[in-house]
Amino acid sequence: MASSVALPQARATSFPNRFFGLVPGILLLLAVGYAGKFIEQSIAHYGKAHHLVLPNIEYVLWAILLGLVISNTVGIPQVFRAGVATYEFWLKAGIVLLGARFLLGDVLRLGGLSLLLVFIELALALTFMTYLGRAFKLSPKLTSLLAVGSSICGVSAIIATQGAIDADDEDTSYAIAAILALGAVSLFIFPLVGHALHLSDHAYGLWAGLAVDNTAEATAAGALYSDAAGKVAVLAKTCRNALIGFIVLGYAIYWAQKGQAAEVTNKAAFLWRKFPKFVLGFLFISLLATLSVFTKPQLSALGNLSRWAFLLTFAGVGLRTNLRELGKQGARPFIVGAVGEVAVALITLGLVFGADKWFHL
Amino acid sequence: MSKPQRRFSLDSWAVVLALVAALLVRIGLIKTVPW
Repeated sequence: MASSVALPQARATSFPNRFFGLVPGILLLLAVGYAGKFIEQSIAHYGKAHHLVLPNIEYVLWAILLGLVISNTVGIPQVFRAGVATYEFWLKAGIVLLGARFLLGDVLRLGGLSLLLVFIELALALTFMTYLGRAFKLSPKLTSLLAVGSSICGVSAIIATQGAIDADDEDTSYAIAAILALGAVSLFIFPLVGHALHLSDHAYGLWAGLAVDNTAEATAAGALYSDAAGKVAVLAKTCRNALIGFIVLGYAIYWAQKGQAAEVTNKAAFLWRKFPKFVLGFLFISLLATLSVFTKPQLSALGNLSRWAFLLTFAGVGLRTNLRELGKQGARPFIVGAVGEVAVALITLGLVFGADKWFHL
Repeated sequence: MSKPQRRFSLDSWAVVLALVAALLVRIGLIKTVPW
């Protein structure tokens, strides 16, 4: 969940100009996402009409692939860029609306279990990544950024940490490139591994939410498996996101003690600033759903609004991934990130198997 | 050097949009959303 890439910084342009500047890109997101949905439905209809058993490839994958093809062939013209960058905004709005599909009891049960696993994952991943960065002789701050990015919350965690520890822009772009490239790879590998291991929807969703870095990719990786897995993946990822402030604060204090970052004067204000507010929105809507504020058709309408918001997000995931740009960033951070990701994926898979055995997911 | 902070983050705007949508659904202005 990269908040930084969401919208262009305020310039001397007026609000209406900025607002209308977003429209072409948002329409492109909608067109690509809807094309993905159209392809999925067309294949299903064709199979039905011709009595063929065709693989059900979700619109999620088609939308991402279409976006990838566009961004890596013709590229994204300037006029679309600001609007395409809003995909993170739609992701967060979609997560809040997804709260309507959870009863608070489920959130607390699955969320509590997720939080427990997140704590274990964080401790192991941060330690392992720090060790790995040292072994590969990466700069200490780049190591910190990669550790935060791969263990907690992808790009937004890296950006939040950059500001807190005064990391170089170059280190930050290395870490972001590595995390984005690995997130793109995870999208394709995770569902394959999940099917190969016959993971249940809940177990797979929990794994994707714990192991895939960026919220957009974690949501997509879950949705690629099944609708139920997508829901659980978002919940588990939201638990990780909720801890971002604490981890960034820890790193900020560590680097400040070394005299290489500014002191954190007000820790409570720091935590609130870094806390992802959409987590509160998600819990609030879930509370309203639990209190039966919405009727069944209204819950269904909110669920579908959430799906539309995610459709824009998935299109954006493909459109913003430029493989050539990612390739330019050099091999070492990527290798460290990749080794770390594989380790995190294996650790979390072990945790999920354990949780499945003890708590029957 | 501190960067100028937005008074209302994008995160918060996303929450506001979702809550407004939920309100519109609740009061019946949005009745069905096809998928």
